[in-house]
Amino acid sequence: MGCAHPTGEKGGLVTVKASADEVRQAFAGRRFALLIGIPQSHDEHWQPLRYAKKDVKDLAAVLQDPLRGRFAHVESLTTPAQTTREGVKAAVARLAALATQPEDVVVLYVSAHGTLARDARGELERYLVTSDADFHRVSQTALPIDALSAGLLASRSRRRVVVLATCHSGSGKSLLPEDVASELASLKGALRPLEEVSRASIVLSASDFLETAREDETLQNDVYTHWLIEALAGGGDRNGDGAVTATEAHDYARRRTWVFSQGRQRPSAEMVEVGADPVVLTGDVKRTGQPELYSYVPRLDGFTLRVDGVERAELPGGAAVGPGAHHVELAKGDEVLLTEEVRLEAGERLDVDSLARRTDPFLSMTATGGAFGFIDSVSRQQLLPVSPALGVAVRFERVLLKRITVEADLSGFGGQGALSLAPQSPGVPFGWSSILVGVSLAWQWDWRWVSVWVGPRVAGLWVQRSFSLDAYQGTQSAFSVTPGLLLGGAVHLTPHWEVSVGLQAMLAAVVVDGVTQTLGFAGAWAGIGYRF
Amino acid sequence: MKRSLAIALCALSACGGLENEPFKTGTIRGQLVAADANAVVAVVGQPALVTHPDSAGRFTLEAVPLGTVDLLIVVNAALSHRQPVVVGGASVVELGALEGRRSGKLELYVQSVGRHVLTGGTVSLVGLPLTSPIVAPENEAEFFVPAGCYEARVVVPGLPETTVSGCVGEAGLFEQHLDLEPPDGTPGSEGCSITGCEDGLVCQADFSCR
Repeated sequence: MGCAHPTGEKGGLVTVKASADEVRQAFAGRRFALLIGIPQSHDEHWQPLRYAKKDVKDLAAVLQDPLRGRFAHVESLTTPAQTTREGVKAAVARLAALATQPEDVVVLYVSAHGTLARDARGELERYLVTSDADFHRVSQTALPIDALSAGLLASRSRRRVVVLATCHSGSGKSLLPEDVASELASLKGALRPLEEVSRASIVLSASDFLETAREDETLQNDVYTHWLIEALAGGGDRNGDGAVTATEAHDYARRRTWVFSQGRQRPSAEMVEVGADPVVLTGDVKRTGQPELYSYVPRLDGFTLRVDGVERAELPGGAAVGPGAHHVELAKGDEVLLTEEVRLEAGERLDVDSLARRTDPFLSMTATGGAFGFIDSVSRQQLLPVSPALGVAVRFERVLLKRITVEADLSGFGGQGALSLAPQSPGVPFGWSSILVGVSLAWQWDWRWVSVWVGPRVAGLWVQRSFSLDAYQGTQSAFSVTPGLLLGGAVHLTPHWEVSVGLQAMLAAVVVDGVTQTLGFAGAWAGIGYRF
Repeated sequence: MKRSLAIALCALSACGGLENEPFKTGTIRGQLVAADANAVVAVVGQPALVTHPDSAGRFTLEAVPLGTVDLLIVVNAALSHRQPVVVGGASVVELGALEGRRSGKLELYVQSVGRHVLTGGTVSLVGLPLTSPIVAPENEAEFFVPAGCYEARVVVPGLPETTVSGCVGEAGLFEQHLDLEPPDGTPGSEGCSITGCEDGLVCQADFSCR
């Protein structure tokens, strides 16, 4: 195998004139699309779809627009002959073969009926109702949805997008066999969502599982498709970088579909291998975009993303923000999953799920300094004075019910002083040392940078006094189990460092001169903590 | 079994204990120079806290309450002393050698208004372990005490109890004459029919001595 060099001899380098733009263009991915609209099956059980063909036509227009999509190849299948089970499979294979580089973008769009049926293994499977599908023999005649994603796996592209403007709920753009519908009613929620079984890089679904994808006469399109087209035409450029990515387009269409359908249709998405490498569907990145916060993981579905106290997006989805420091919060109702300070640069894209995973659950270790002592003055004069204390506290935040925080603390204190046993009498000099070990179960509230927790605690208090007097040399020690209350608070200086304070009030049973006394014991501390 | 129970109770509530009683009293030590058999050391106001030095004049006063106490020291009839002492809890206060100063003298002369015979009467100094009998024929009681102010309680059978206060300087003298009158209706009101009369006087029908 030869190589080139500048002498022009065989195997030498060849000088080629090429501009930077030309080089970039050469390495930029090309865009290919297969758009499938199946308005009708030969089986009349499925009602015809009015806008399946128009969905394909409108979407093709924006993808082929030389100013926006600039797709190198767009194939549309809308006739009964083209949209048979085998016809669709063959078209998917052709699409996969077109992409020869990882940077190539491959889009597969389907607007059709969907349905559910048992496959050969007896498992409930999602099917695309192709033009030759038979209502009574779905598994033999229709095309499994998984086959669409699987067909794209042959492609060398790692920028694959599947858009499903269909549903499998049995209403709207789907119709289920009677036995399946009956079984589905009893199994509702037990099936895995489509997005979890897909192996495509991105699956954008016009409706969530068991929800209805709808066509609309006013919009003259499938509802989701209408807004998707509008997003691809430029409306979805959330971060203002000149390009519309798959996630930007989906978020744009998703929110508007949700509003338009008055909450009845909730498009969903699964993201794989996406983040730093967004899939650009239309336009070009002409400038560095605004930083973006996003998440598409199912576990954060329904959470609201607040940035600097302002509600910016409902997850799954995302929002563009200005560069700089931001306070990010994920909440669902009163439940706050995450409060985090982040600093974002222009063009940066941050998956908030990574923040949630990093900070949930929280474990903090705090070095503390404070003071402890009996509440009443007589005990402070005659048993133990107020003592400076050093300690450590370990806090497991929100370990139960996402509100309950467990805190364990250890404090040691000691010193030299004098007992004052009678008025105007000289003090009785002595030294003391003490250890307080406690555990608390506290209810925690979080507001932005501040957390406050309060709850019951129980501790063991051990006290030792040492005397070296003319007529008494020796030590005395006492131990008491002390139930009480903890009030704590922390200010989060950074995602990891915090300043915290604590107040503890306890009841200690102490035997004094042979008589058990129940005495109030309290402490206050402040500390610097590190959160893991 | 008992040990296990104790450990269990300890784990559940409290164990061990703190003691303050040992620190509520202290000890005073010293040695009186030229002490005689009547020497005494006492805490003013606490008659139970009194001790007599040994033959060498050494004394130890234990269980003295915490704080400042007024110590009365009688070395002999001529020398005595009062000294404030600060006592610490479970501590020993060493006073060292104490010589005393010249005593003052308290003299009390007691008689009844009816000139009855006084028998078994005593005078004691309030708050001090010092008591003196009322001695005939002049019905006199005397004390050699350090300079200071004192309250004396006079107790004579058949006559009302009374007190008298007075101060004495170093080597000074305080003298007081007391006339005690039996109140009506008391055993003393029957006068000399019970007590008899002083020498040279005769008990009359109205129970007075003339």
